[in-house]
Amino acid sequence: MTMTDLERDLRATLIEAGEHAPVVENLFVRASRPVRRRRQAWWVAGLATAATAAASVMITVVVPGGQDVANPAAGPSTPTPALSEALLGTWTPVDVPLFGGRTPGASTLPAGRVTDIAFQRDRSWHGSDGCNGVGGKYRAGDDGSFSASVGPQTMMGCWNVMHSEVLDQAARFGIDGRTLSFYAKDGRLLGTYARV
Amino acid sequence: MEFNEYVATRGQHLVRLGFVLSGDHHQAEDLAQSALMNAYRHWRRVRRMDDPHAYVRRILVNSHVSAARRRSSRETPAPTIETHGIEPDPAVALAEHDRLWRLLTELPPRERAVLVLRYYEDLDHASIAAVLGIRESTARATASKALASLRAARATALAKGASDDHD
Repeated sequence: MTMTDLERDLRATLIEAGEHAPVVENLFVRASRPVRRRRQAWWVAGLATAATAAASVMITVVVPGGQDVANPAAGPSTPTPALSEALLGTWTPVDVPLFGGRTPGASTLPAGRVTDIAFQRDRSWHGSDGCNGVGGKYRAGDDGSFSASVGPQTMMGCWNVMHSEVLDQAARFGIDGRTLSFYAKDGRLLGTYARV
Repeated sequence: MEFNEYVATRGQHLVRLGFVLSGDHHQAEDLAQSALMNAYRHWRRVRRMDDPHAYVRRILVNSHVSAARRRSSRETPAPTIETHGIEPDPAVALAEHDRLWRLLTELPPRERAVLVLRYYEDLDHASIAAVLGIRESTARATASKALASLRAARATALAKGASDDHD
């Protein structure tokens, strides 16, 4: 290939410029560590969810004789509660993907911090993101439909588990044993909670 | 080849390629790091390819071109480029390199990428087309257009320099 003067100058310029690139010593660590951390977080979150689900299955096993182990007082003839009814009560976050990939389980929170949310019969919900009270109104259907409004809240910085964002975006919910999951309109999992 | 071996042999070359493409130290590091992260995520598949380096280079070049396009559509100021050691020099050759380096920054991202792949990476037009996901004829035409732009810009700069000297 015959090169023109311009092409020769261009090649020399680029080679010379390349010599002045920064020298990066720890490229392997910089490239592999974020991927490993993400995989680790994914596994931890997955295991936590699986553990919660397994626990809920064990707890709700019906013993011979028809009595529910989880609720011995219920007796054999208690009908399964409607989905909206099952939502009532207090739930603690297990996996909230919106929460920066962290797992907001009790073991990772500072002592004394509570990040539970509770759903009341009067269609109000309230809770704490770790240091700010959160709450509002909600509507839950027995067909799994869900919508919620979020009231005013203080904005102290701490763990800030994103209950408000989860409930605000939630279009559906599901309860499997003692595990509550919220889903966005597009089916994306927004958060998983365990019954307290 | 294990991923750490690949990084040891090719990592710094990717940083240099990132710098020649972007003209910016930080961008060069970021481009190399994100291309390597992407490769690491799929390394079991990447290592079985005929040429794993071609795959990583392709990620780096295309992410630079995409990002540069996004930046150029958002920002109006001309990009600043780090000269780092190729500042204007009394020596004619160095001054010429510096001038060319600055003119390169004014080319559209894809034209600059084509020239870098052609004259820094020594790729032929078919390989350039494969990296950028374009036709070979488009790669050839883009290189030709970019060279013509550089030639015209250099002539203008030289004429301006001569006129300034004359004044």
